[in-house]
Amino acid sequence: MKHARRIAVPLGIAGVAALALTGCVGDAPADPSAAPGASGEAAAGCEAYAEYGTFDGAEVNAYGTILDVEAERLNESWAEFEECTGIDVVYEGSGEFEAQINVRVQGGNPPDLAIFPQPGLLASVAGTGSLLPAPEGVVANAQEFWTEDWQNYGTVDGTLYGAPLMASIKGFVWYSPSVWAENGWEVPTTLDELDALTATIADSGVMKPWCVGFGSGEATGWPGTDWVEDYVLRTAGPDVYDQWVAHEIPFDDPQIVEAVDRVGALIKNPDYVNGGFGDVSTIATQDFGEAGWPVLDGECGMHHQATFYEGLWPEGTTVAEDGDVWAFILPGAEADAAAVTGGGEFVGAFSDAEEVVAVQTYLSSDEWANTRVEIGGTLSANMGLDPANASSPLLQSAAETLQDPDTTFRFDGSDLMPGAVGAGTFWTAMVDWVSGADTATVLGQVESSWQ
Amino acid sequence: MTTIDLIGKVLQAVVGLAAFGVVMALLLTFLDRPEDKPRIEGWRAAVKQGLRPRLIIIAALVLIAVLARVLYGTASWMTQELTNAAIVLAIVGIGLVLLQWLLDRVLQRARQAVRSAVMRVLGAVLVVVLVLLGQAAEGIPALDWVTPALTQAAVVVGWPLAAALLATAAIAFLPDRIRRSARLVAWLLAAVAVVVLGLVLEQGQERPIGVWPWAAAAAISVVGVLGYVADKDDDSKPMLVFLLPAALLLTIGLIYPAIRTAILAFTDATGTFNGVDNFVWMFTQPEALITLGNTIVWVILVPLLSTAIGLAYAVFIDKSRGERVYKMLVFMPMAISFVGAGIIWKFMYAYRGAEQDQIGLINQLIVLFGGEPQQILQNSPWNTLALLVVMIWIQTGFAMVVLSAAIKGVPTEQIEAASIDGASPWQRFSNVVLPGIRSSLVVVVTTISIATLKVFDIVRTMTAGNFNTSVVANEMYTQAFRSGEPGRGAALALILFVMVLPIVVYNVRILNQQKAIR
Amino acid sequence: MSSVALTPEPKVSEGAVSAAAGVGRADRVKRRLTSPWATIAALIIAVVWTIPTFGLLLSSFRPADQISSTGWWSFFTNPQLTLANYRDVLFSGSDTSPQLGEYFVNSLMIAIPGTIIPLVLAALAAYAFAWVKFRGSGTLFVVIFALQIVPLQMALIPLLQLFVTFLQPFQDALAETVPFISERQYLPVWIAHTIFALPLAIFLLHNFISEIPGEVVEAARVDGAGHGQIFFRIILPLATPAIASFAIFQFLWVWNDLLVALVFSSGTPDTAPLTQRLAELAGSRGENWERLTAGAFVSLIVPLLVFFGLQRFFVRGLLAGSAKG
Repeated sequence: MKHARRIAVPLGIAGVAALALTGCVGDAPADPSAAPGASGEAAAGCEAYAEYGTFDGAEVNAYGTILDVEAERLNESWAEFEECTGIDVVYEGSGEFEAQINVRVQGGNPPDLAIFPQPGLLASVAGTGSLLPAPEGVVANAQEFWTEDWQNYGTVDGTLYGAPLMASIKGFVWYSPSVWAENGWEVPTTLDELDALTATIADSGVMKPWCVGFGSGEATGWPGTDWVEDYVLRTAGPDVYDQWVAHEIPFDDPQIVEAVDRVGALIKNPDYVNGGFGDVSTIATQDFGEAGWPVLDGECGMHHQATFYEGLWPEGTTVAEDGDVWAFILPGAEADAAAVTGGGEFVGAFSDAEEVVAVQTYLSSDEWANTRVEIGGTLSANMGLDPANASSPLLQSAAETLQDPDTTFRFDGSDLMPGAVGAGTFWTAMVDWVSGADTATVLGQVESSWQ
Repeated sequence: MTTIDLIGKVLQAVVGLAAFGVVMALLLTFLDRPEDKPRIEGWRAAVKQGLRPRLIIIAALVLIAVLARVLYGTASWMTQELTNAAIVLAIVGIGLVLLQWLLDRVLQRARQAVRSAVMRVLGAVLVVVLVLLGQAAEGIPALDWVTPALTQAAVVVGWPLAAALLATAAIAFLPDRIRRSARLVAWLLAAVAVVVLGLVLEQGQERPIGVWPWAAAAAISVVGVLGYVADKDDDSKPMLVFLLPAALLLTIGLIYPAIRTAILAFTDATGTFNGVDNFVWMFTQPEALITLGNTIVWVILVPLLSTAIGLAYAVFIDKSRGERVYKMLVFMPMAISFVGAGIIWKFMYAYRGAEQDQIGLINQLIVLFGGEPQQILQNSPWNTLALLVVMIWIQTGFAMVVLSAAIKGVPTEQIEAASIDGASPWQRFSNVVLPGIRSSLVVVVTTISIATLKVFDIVRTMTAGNFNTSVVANEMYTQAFRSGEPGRGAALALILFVMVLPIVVYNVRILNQQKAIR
Repeated sequence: MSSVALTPEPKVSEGAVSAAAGVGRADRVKRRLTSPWATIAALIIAVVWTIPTFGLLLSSFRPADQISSTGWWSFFTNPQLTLANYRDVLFSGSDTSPQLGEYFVNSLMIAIPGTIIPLVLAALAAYAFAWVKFRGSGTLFVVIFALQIVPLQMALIPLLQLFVTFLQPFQDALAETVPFISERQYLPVWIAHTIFALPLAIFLLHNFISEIPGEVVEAARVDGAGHGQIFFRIILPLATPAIASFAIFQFLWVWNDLLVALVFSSGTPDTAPLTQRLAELAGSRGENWERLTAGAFVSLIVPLLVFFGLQRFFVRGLLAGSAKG
């Protein structure tokens, strides 16, 4: 066994050395930066966030459709929260969210939080079983700050999955106050008056009454669905609207056909549309973002688009009652029948880690709603929102409308329908329709695609 | 961006490429591995021969451990965990080196088969021990650096590795006749074992293990099958080394998804089997035939036109002054993304009413020549052609670059000989150049055809499939991702596959002809 | 012999031949297959192919409101240029959306390994198919060729599942051990690009490598060279033009890719490439597309540089040189 010793000796030496080395390190003090309590001493102004607790180096991933300036504002809105709680909220925005969220969920790589732009998508993702029911704090906030309608949009099969985030009101009609004053046109109070005004503007020969654009890349057609929804809600009433959205009546029910035809009377009339762009056929391709701009140049009288269009006017445009452009809510069938459609985002969670719960709860609180709305450009349907915080007169009036108990509010119908319809055949139907197909045919196609 | 971030990023790329290089180098060293090492007689010589290179490794490991201990406390990034990791790994490394040397000595006189078997079994045991140790690391102070992630990583690698080692260990004893088949069986059994093990482990745990046993089994099977093919004779063995990395990646990344897609095509949105419903749906929806027709128009016109234009251009500019600049100009669209190209051409086709200023060049030209401006993207069927043009615009650069290079490969002597014989430029081209670049032409047409079948970005960005311009690839994306109907998407993918079959068959025939000539 | 992307150096061979022979110079000058008409046709194609890009270039320097109201050619009558679009794209940095530089680095760090790794693997496989005789090589090759048509979109979800279960542990372990490497890494993107590139790369390189004269390979084998040596000493140098040209294409595809990045990169400044950032810059509602025009040109620069840089490989065909002695 001579050779055995030869091996044993170096092994032994190595072992002893190793023990010595590791032993020394084992006793060493821990990394000072990891010392607990360092961030516990919150800066002044953090009292409001005490209930969310403090976390060290925790990270929460949020994923949504919100991009660019809006994304920066979103990050700004939770900056203080991050500082006080120590949670790092990493937001990722993508124009491909609707497709990618499915890929990531099925691929087993979902974000911690997803900001769903449509309740329909939230429902379909919840259907896969990977979305977690809202934690207690969120449920409490939702019940405290949102109307039952809004809670229902985030609820699937009786379980609340997400509280609403921001909101927008869809049915605004933009116009140029100075041009209207010059020509003596007045804001209509009923749909009939609106039709009459449309005819007046067309007859005046000064400009076309309407500018319309359905173009929106691969989502082309959605501005058309907004038109239809606004009219269905106003001409057929909220009950029919609900049945239509829930597919309790056929998609091509006569009342819906009537509403669509009423829209068609306005925007499929070559005398009425698209000053500055061309004829009716340009509607299908005209990008919605610039579709309203001719209003400024006096080439058309009105443009129908949501509150967020405030941010889409060219730089330097003043949005005010006495400014370059201003807007009124699309009137009801009768005067003073306030009915609006609107949209909003919902925050669902794929993780129940404490820091994720904290962020989700914070986003459903009135504090966040006020902080975010104050930064500007958007609204929230949070009842705890002080309308005075809204960044512009338009948003202030819209916020008041949202909180007015007399307002009939309905969520954007296409966002509630299944994705294949609300973000598929309904869009293409509007494109076909405005390109010349007749109402019954296109609505029938949507109906047959909705099993 | 901080400097640290930048270092981290560059480091990732460098380390990644280096690791890739090392793996490749290791693989290639197997190629020229001498089958039988000469036996060394006598202990003294053996120590000199066997221990010296090992001593260098040991010294290096000791150095690393000592360095880690010295740096600890001086360098801020050298954490306690990192130091412990370095030291423990150094000790384990030294132990392994010595163990291997010892075994080599002890087993020196044993048969080759016994030796490799023992080595493999021991290796498997070692791997299992390490994995188990990793799982039990919690609570051992010196192992504080073993994070759950690391443990999981070890598990992911460890079990399949151990299975593979054991599976191959016993084979060496078998007689030569059946060894080859037995090896294949063993590999396949190992694959099954991994799956079974995975399923069994899954029973007891709350968290599902997921796909990894399946993928590991697939990988083991690939190795086994390739090994079976290669084991026939010594001449074909090296192909294992050359083919293995690509085959493994393709199996997990494309073959597995292809099989999954094929199964998915017969299920509905909830994943239940629904027969051929998806195919029925596909052919009964109103625009199905238009979509199919468009796709066929695309796949015929795009490859033909872009190859023809690319070839003509390549011939025209061949050996002319400023050839590089010429090439650059037509190549440029290649360098623009599909989405970018969509934007550019939306500009080109933009429409304004006759009374307004046109902002799209095409309509401006139409107006210049006294025509009415057209809704180019809306007027079916011409709008499909308008979209096609974008793809041709992009792919011509590809055809031109490849064919230009091929033309330069045609021996100049042949062209000269033809011109001495009095052939006109056209005759020279069709009789000498064209046959000379035939295989390149086939490659170009094939590549562009397949790219055309798959392209969907152009349609999406420019018309979103409206106005009767949709193609199968676009429908597939819409159904699978936007509408939440993966079954329909998969069915459309199968249709695409059927459409590409003729191209594959044609290429196979060409390939066989070439083989016959060679 | 014909080949994919195989090119002799025309000027050198021309010069050498004419210097050596000294006669028939006129013949050689006329060796071009072309006529004045051809030159005109080439000019027309070049112009037609360049105009769209040129229009975009000009548009990217025009004020945002003018882009959508007048055609770019009105620049010639009303020259009005601005750098605002580029300023927006390049320097619109804030703490939440950093400047483009970081994404630029990411694009490079994705595209370079994303080109090298598949090329090496494909060259190895192509060599095996072309020069190692083994049973079933034909079938296997056809299978790999046919894999080209597996649509990327259908492979995304299964691959992501695999990455989450297999790669994530390694990535987490690496991020925990090395302090300055983020847990969001490029690795999944590299592997995804490699996998998706392999079928085409193997197909193209095989076409080239199989056309290398058999005598050259046989001679080396007779001299006792192993496969490894043949691959490195003979195949690789001879295949350089083919590899370089494929490298250009692969680089372009990776550089311009958005789909793979959307799924496999994190979307944060840690790993997201330029394309992803530019898509975000366009804005959530499709506005701001004056930024897209500028952004398109920013991301065009690198591919063009790569083309210029590697173009010389197109024209320096080593095989042609060796065949002529």
